[in-house]
Amino acid sequence: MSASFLEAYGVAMGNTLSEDWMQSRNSSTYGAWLVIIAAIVGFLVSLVAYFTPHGPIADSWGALLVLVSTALMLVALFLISRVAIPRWFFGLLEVLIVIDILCTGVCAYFLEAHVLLFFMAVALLGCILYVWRVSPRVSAG
Amino acid sequence: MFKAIFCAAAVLTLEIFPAAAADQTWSTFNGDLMAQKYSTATEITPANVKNLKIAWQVHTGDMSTKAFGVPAETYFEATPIFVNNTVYIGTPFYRIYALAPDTGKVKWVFNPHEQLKALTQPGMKSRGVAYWQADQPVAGKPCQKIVYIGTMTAKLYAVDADSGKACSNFAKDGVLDIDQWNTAKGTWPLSILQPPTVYRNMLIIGWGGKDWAIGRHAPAGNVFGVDAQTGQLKWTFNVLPPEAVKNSGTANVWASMSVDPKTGIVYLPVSSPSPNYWGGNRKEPLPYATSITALDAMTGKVVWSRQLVHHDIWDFDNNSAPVLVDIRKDGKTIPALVQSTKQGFLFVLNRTNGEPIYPITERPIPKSDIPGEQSSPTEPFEDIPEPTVPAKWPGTFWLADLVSLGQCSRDVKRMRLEGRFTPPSLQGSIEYPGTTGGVEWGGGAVDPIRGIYVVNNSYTAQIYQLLKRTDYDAKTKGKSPDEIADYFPQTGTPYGVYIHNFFNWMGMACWAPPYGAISAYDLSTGKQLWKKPFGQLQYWGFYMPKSWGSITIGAPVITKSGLIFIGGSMDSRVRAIDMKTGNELWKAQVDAPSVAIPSVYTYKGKEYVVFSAGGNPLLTSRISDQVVAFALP
Repeated sequence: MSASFLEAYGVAMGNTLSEDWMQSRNSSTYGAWLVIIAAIVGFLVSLVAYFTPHGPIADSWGALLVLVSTALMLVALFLISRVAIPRWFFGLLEVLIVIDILCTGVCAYFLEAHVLLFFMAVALLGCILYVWRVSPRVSAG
Repeated sequence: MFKAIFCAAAVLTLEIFPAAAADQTWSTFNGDLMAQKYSTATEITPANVKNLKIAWQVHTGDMSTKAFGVPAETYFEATPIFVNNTVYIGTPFYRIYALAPDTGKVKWVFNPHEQLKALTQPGMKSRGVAYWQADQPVAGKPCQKIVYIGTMTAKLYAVDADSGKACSNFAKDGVLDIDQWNTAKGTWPLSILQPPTVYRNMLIIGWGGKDWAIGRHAPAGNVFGVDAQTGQLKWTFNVLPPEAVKNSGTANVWASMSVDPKTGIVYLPVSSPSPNYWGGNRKEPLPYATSITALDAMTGKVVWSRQLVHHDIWDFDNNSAPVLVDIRKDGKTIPALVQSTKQGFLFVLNRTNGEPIYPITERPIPKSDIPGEQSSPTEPFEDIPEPTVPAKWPGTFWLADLVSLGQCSRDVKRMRLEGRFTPPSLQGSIEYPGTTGGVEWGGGAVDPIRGIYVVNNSYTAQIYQLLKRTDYDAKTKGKSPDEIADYFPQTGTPYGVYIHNFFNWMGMACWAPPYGAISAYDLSTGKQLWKKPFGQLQYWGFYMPKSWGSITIGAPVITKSGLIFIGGSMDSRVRAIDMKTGNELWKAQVDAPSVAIPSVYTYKGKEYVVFSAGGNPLLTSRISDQVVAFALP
């Protein structure tokens, strides 16, 4: 992920990184918002799955794992969208978010948590959209 | 004219739909006396089974995870029986629930206020209740219909089926103390965890104990015939010769039995003698031990007996009721029985004389190298039907081996692994399958019309390691019960025993999957029709691949419409399977693994499938007290 991803946020736009991220929504709004929405829904789905009495994965380590992973995803998204952070940390968070999405998706597959799996696919799609929409401008810049 | 047409229509309706007129019961642990686990219900079919919904569910409240002052976990393994327009179910706290069959509404609850201690088992356990009724019940007179429940303390309670009140004429105030017939009092009580078998006015009673614990002077595995109304002892079947009781014990009947109602013969699946894993003190012939023994149900006299394991040192108890069915073979109808076993065999015998319908051959087995032991030179094998567990070791599971840095493969090299009937040893012997099976206590089911037998099985590997008494004492001294849960003393013998599943340090199975399957056999030819991985394992919430299957406890039931209903999987799901193909047609989530035999009945023309979802604390931490009925909307 990416130099181009990183550049798309910071270098090309010439703003603070968090401002860049917000401004980059102008060009790749859909992708960014897809990631955010998918992460929120994923967190809520994990919450319900973990706490539903007698649910298929209730009270399990697996459900707890995806609950934590989606919570971390939300924290990371908040940091890169709302907080001024160093460029290297920004890039690291981006990479971690993508890894988080992939790992949560794999977990969801083995937990047979189909809704969560769907939203992790949506989040991944958001990432791809984001990269795809931003990259041409980076090249042009 | 109108009246005549109406009458004709009514008669025609009754002719065409006779089944709708009478409810179809599920009156015993195995559905009927022949242990067929078969229902003639036809409302639910392969085409509409996907529409099944929960009709009702009940939580009995009788469940323990060792919390709240109850010191033992619960094993809720009861078949809900349906008879007398009521669903009856026994709980691990030995209470009886009487439920309305269409709503699950509680009619009454009987509470014996039993002590809740795991005296002979790893936890508190019940496989449910039995039912008897008089040939001509007298209206208004109590205890013309009786429900029985046994307890771990060896009590058998008789309760009026309509009111839930104790039957005072039965034994002493409605309670029969089975332990009065214990040949080794002070060792353990003769736990009545399996409901008695009811035939005419006779209760045939076996019991469970802990034959792995005591080597010498354990209770002899006697079976009792008792009057169903009074509790009076009518006969006793002594499984062991008197001289053998001095040094051995058990060979009890802890599983369910079956009865041929036409001949009045009861078939006993007899377990192994004690101590389970070292037979140096019981070298004399024990012909009824680990046998199928047929008795006259009214007198207890032996009709025939066939031993299925000689000098059993593997705890290969016969653990389920023989399934009785008439099979068509070579143009003849043969009264048969099918006995599934822990070692994975399916013995098909003529039930009138015990002779094999498909060949049983005596084959040499590996010799024991334990001083004082004298393993049998041969054991009975069968090839048709194909055994549920193959003789060949499936190999070490690469992932478990990798994760354990080669621990699994090192153990395979270090231990004795010589195929079926590898004797227990000092360095450890890998048993595949081990005492956990193979086929467990639910046994199989049969469609008597199609002549098809269906059975679920596990593929398990266990390690049996004998420990010299000094080593055993050194390893177990000062340890808590949880720390030495897999160590069994076999007191009075030179060896204790350490038995555990062949897992790596992470709890992963060291042997290659699959771990569970379900198969169908044509009994007229002995051919396997299909075999599929059954169920799914679930660790920490993650489902393992379907091709692995699941360790499976419980049993299938079959309906006339061509469906198999089964719980039994460790993923807390219950399933419907197509009889023809073995394909899964429906599944539903329940609270815990349903390790019980489901029941199928019809009430007012509607078909219900009922599961007890109790779980098994040895296999999964997910346990429950749920009884759940499914029906079409």
